[in-house]
Amino acid sequence: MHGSEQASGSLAYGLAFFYFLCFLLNAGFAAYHWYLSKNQKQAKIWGAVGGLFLILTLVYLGAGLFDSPGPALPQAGRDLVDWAMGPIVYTALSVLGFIAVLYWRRFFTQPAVAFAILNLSLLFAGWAMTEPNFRSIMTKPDNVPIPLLIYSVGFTTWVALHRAVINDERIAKGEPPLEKLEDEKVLVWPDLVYTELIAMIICTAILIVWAIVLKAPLEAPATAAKAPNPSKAPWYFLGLQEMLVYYDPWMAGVVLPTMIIVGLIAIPYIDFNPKGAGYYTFNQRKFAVVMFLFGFVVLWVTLIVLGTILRGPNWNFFGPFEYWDTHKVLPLNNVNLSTIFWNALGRNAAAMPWYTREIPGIILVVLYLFGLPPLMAKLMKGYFIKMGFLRFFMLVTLIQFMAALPIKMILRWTINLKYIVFIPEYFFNI
Amino acid sequence: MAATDKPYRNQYRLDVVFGASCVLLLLTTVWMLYDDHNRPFKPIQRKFRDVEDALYTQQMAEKFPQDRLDKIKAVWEEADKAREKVKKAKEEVATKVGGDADAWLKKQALEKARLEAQYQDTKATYDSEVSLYNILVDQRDNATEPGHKKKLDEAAQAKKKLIAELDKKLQDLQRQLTENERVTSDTLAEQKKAEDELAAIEDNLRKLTNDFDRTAKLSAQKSWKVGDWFRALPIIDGFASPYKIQQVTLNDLTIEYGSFKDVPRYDRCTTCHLAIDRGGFTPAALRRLDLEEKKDDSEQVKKEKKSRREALQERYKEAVKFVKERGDDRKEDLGFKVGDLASKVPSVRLSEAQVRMYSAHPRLGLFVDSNSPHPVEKFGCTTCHAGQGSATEFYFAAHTPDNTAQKKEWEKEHKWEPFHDWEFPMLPARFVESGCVKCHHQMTDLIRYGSQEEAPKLLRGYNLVRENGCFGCHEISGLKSGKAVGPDLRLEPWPALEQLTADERAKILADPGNPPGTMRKVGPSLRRISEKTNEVWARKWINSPRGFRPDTRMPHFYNLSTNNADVLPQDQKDYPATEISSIAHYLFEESQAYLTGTDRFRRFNEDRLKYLKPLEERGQLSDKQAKELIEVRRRLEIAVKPTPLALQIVDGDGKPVPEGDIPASSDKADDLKAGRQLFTERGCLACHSHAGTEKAGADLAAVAGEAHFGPNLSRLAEKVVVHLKGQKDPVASRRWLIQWVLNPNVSHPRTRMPIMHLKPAEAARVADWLLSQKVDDREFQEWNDKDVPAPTQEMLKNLARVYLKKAPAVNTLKVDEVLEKGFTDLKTEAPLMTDDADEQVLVNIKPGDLNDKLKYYIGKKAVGRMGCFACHDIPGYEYAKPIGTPLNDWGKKDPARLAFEDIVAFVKANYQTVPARDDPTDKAKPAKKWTEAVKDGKKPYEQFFFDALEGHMREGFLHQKIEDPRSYDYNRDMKWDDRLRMPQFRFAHPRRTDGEGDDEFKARTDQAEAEAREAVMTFILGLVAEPIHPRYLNNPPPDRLAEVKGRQVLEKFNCAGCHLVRPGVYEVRADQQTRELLKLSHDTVAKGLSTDYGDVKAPIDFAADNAWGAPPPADPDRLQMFGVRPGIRKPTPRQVEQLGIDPDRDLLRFRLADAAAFVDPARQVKVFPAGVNVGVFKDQVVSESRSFGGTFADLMVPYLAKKDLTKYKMEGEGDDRDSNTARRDLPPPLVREGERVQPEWLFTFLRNPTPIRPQVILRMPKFNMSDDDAKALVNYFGGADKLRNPGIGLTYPYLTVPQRDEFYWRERSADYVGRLEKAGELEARGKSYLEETQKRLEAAREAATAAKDDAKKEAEAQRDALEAEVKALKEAVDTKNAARLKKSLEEAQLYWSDGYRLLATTGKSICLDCHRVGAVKAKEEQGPPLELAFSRLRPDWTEHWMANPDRLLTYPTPMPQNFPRGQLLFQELMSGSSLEQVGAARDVLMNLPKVADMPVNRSYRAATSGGK
Repeated sequence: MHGSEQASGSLAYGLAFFYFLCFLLNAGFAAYHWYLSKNQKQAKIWGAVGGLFLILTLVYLGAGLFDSPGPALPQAGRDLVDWAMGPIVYTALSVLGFIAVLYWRRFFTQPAVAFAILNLSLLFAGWAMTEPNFRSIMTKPDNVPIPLLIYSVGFTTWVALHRAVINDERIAKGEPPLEKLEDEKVLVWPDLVYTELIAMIICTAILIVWAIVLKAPLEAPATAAKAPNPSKAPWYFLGLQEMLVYYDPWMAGVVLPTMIIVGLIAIPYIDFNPKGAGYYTFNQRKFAVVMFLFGFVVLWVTLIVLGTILRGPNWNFFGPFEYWDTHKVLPLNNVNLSTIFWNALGRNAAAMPWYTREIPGIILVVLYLFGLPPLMAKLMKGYFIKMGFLRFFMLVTLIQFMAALPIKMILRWTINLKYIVFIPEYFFNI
Repeated sequence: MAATDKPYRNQYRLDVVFGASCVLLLLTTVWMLYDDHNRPFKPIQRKFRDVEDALYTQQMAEKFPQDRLDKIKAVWEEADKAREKVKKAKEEVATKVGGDADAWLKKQALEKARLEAQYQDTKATYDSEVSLYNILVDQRDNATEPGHKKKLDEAAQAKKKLIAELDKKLQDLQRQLTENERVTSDTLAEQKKAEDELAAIEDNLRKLTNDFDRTAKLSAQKSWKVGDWFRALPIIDGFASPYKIQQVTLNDLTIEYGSFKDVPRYDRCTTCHLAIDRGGFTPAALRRLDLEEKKDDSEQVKKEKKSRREALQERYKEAVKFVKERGDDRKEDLGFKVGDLASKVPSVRLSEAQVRMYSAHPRLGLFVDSNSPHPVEKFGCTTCHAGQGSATEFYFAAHTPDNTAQKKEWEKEHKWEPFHDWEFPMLPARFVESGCVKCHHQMTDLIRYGSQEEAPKLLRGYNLVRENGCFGCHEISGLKSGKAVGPDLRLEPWPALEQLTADERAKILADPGNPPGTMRKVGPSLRRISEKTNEVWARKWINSPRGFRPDTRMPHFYNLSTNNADVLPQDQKDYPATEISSIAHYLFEESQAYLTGTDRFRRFNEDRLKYLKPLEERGQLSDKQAKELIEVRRRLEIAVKPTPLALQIVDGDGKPVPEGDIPASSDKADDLKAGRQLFTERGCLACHSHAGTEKAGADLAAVAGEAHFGPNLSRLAEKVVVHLKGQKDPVASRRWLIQWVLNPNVSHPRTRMPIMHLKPAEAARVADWLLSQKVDDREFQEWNDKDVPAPTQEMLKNLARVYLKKAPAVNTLKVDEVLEKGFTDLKTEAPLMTDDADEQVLVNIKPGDLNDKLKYYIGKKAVGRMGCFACHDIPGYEYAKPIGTPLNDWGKKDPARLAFEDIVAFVKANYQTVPARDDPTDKAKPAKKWTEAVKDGKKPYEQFFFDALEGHMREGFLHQKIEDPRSYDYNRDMKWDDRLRMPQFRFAHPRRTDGEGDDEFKARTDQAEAEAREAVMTFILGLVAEPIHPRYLNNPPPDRLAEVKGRQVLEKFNCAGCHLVRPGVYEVRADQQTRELLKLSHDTVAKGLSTDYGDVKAPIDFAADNAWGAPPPADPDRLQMFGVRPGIRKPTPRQVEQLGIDPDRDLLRFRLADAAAFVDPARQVKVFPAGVNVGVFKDQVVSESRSFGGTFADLMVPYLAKKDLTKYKMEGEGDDRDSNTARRDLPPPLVREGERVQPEWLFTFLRNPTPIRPQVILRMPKFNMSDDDAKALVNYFGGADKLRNPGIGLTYPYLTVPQRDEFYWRERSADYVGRLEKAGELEARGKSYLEETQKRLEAAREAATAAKDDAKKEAEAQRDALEAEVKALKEAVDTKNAARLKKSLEEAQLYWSDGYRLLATTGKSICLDCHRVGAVKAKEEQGPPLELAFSRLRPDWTEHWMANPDRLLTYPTPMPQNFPRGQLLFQELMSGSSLEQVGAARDVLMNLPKVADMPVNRSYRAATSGGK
């Protein structure tokens, strides 16, 4: 990756093929509307979109014939995306998007809207491949699961929300949810075992093809003398690795993952809401769905994507279209809470013993952990009464730990906060 | 809700999906197997099978013995006859035994088997019975009860009887067996004889067809058969595939992966490079496999292919017929099935890349082959070539293309791209020699056969690094934690070892893990620069050294790409000039201070002494201070205060020269001529060149030397200009030069320039001439006009501020104050300043001194920053450490740790990339595009290196670093002192040839520089600091090690500048015509050889000495000859006539330095002795490495001949023109020096050379050489000659002279007198000897009476001894008693006195015509005095030399062959054959003092008295 890889005709052919697949997708969708759902308007729209993809196919095919890479992403577009992918904007947009989708879920879960979003993302993903830096990241065999992750998580989330919206409407009208309509028990054989067998065979076949087509990537032999730069965990751990930016290893690597596991185990015991079993719903389980989606999609999946695509050498942030220059240096001028606090009071924090120096941070942490739950109990009286003391406090504690990450992120970005509590004497930093 | 029995999904549909998924799985599995079938190495191996098949089949056709078929058929007939005979013999056997021979034989065999079985059986019983008998006897003898005893005795007796019977039976059986065998063999005797005859004939037949049979067998084996075809099928080959990964496991040659040490190396390269160790797989042979015409072939190629194909197929048909005839009709066992042979010769077309992949490694004798020094089983591939050995794919193996064309080819064929995940990508072919450094740490051990460089590029690089002093800044240590990892090029410590006391030396040498460095600084010492030149010159020189002296090794520090005036920011524009002036100022001020004993080093130490001494006296020293005091005292002791030249000049022995001995400066023509003559003839040109000698003038011939060991002195007169108070001081300048010529060690104690033994007057003449040689060319004027502007105070302050702000001791706020008036209050301005800080110079500045002080300060800082002290000895930097990156392990430096910065943009902006550096058809020429790029103004840049830069590879970085070391600062905003410091070197200095244009010359220079740069890179890339298992290190045996180490010293002192050290090596293909040519020469030469050399009948005199004898060539088709003075010649008319060779075909002719054997056309081994001229066809010379050394002598021959044609006659024509008399007067060749001289003498001579030959035009100078250096040289000559000439049994470094043995002394005379008796000359010689002795007695009597005092006693003793001798002799002669005569002659040591007569008799033109013996003068002295031989020469060499001097020298010596073989000369002086006379002369020389002191021999002493 030295920016010297020139895109050539073979890339254009690849894009042509990709857009042709998009065309087929839309054509299929249009045909579905035309013949099955008899929605001619929709059919025409998606037919037109398919036509657009067909044109793109032809454009890149033509470019391929002249051994040219075809129309590339314009520089302004690259710059815009690079800007939008800066850590603050990226996270803020993720959160805002998350809220928007949930709030306007009725709009977003319409098949046409979802399909339009899918089309847009495919169009852009293809085009983005014309940029060599992005291409070299995405075509690394290591990173192939990431697009799979993005689209599969997107799809499952959409399915859940889409059906939840329908179910909520039905429930509001007094009808049973969709799932209850065909609520029959099925046989283990053949309905379960047979289909599992088929799934196994297909999975095996897919894995074989994957293994043939994308060879296991060999990198430099491991040596203690030289760490690869950037050093990245396997893709599924990149979310955890991202936490290391904000917390010390004992916290990001031990406490938080433990809390995640404990929290997942505890869900059945905490969950007191009997509704929503066996069918999709949003309105009946607002709190649970929002909490889960925030924890999984926003905090886990987006951090994996961020860690894979946007973290480059020296764990610096790089836009997706930015060259990973090892020599890029970003200022690291984070300060501790104690320094901010005592300096504001005109005292030298460095000269103080740790127990007086860190008093403000310790107070804050204690307040956060022990002062907040009673407050929450007061604010969410209904929940508190329904759940009882123990379950409520467990829930609040888990949420507090989940919120610890975004809180620290925001503090880091806004006031360059390094540590809330900083006791290097005992290797204890928060 | 209750469960229903109805399935949820449609069963049929599920079955369909299941079926489809199964098909999908099956398809993917097939795909997987297909993928495995096509793993990249498998098609390669499959194709190789075709290649093998085709190659062997073609070879089979080619080797088909068509021309010998008649002979073979004749042998067949013989064989048939022999077979008939065997048959007949068999029939006879049948009649003998009466009918069926086979049945009889079977019967015999059966009988034999039966008898043997019976015998075995009986023997077993016998052994058992014997043991039982022994037990019975024991029991009987121990029995106490008589009855029992008796019973036992009876039993024993019975057993005994039984044993006897058995024994008889055994013997009987044995007899029967023998009889059976005898009968069988007798009956078969005739048959066996016939069979043996047949076997012999068949053996003969096999010899005739051997070559063919072998290829036929291979061809049959490699042809495709059904089984092979089946096993190679896709999917089937997934199981027991004939195609497998090949690998070599190297457990000791580990790979170092970071901290995972000792990972064994697996090299799988042979998986694809399948024929790497097979001799026949040459690229040419592989290309010839293509027989089919293809569309893209040219008409010519098509035609060639067609004719070749048809001829081959025809021949192959015949060959197969031949095989069939033998296999089917003649029922021969061929070792293969005839049916396996292909029906016709296959054709295989290979791409160039495939040819390279399938061809064998070049030089299998040296690499890969299991009999070579580097067998693949032991060394693998990646050890030398690097790359990822465990890979089985082209890309993962980390192949590296050697040039752009190859890169493009690979990109197309293999989708190649740089592979970054392996730390050691394969070395591109151009750097392949780097791999040698890993194990060959001595570097000079890569020179074989004396002068053949096995890795020429690497050696060149090593020498360039050595000569240019890279190690001054960049440590190149050969040790890593006590282990040898590479060549050791470290600077010697200061002070040098030789300047230390023995005790200190021992201490330094005591640590074997960290021995002191041995390299001297390459530049001159600047301690006394103020006596040599002036500040103005120094400024201009620092600004542009190559402007003054184009071929100087001093690199450029200024006006480079990042510090010339165009690119420097406004506030730094003045810095270079300011810095240069300051450096010059510092050097001169310190130099002047040094001469007056007030340099900083001394002053600082004196100050410390002053401070510490009172403490010591008061007993208040701390431990640390006590240590310091010792150190300070020692430092002051070492730093001897010099005596300025203005006061005294010393000669070569270090004694002051009286002022009167130095003549006044003169510009008279005669004096200048004398100066030029001395400069030319006294050896200066062996190391220096000078434009003044390159043109004839002042009655002297032109000598255009190209020596580059020392600087070119053409512009010396402009440099050696001493200023006194700003004015030129010619007297002082001249004094410096005189001193330098007389004894350079005064100004530069570590110089390699020797003391030339010039007299002061001569030195003055040389100086006068050198100073008279003014140059006035345009280039020089341009340089001279460009003085560096003197800096203003403001400029000085600006630059000083840069340094002062960073000085650790200085309060940054006070910097500007300090710059105004220096430090006034150290406590506030620099509270932490140490006593030896550079800033001390700015303390307490007197008004008006500020400029000088600032200059001094900046100069000191700049010298330290840029590391001037790495090459020069500079006062104030005695203990400074090297400033550069260590290079020990640069070859494996992680490219991620190299700062490439904006280099690609720099190269794009400043260079023009060209695809190749040289013309592929003529490697010596620059590529056409290269030349064009030069014209364009932009310098050419090879695409290969540009790619390497872009790909962030080591090669790219290093190349650009050497080409333009500062360019990595391009577009970087850097502080002045943070900028890169490495100067710009230029390694190649080609000379302009006649008629060469500017552009051409520039292009050639550029190309030469590119080549030199690559050579340096080859060396540096080889420095990987990998500790190699000792088993793999090249640890030469002692003799070879002596040669290897000595070579380094030879190069250190440029011995080869004057002396020819090793002869050249020529490897010649000996085809039929070459053999005929050599035979013809040998016949011619043999006629003249009878003087010491065998005609066929008589043996050679000294066959064990390689000057006379040579073993038969190991490979009769390839001869290796050692020779000197090669020249190109056309064949003589006789050669043309007798051998029918093309008269225009070039012959390479040289004088043999060693005897050379060859096999003549009649398969007889013939030997050329050394000293004859031999010519071979130039186009048959496979490799040629020129002789090493002797340039000066070669330069002087024509010069001397022009000077004095009567004395130095030129002989020969063209290339051969030479003058032996001139060579006699020039530095001698050192070929056979080890054989010639005694080691002790050589050691003494090297340390302090004494004159040897009286007539030479120059004397061996005295080198500034340590004992170790001299020892290494002595061992070099000993080791080299012992290896080269093993037959003479050379011993070194110790030597015994057996001729000096007392026993030998007595034995000789007895032998000699016995010889006389046998020849019947005893009586006559007795009489004549008596007469001679009587005469001497008379003389002795007179002397005894005349002598006085002490001498009298001695003379009387002499007289008495003679009297006794005469008396005894007389009696014997008178009584005619042969026995008594014999005894008294023996006692008189007749052998020694006769031997002495042989040497010392004047007028016989044996020795004394040319050699002096003691005080006896020679007629015309030409050779060394004979008494020198006693301590100087080795006895064997002396003997061989006198027997025929011509054999041992590289030019025809004027020394005659005094005792030619077969001629009885000088019998009146000494009786005996020529060899016996030679032996006697040698014996006498080896005992000369003793022999000369014999009473009878004293009379030879001439009138001189008191002489020994």
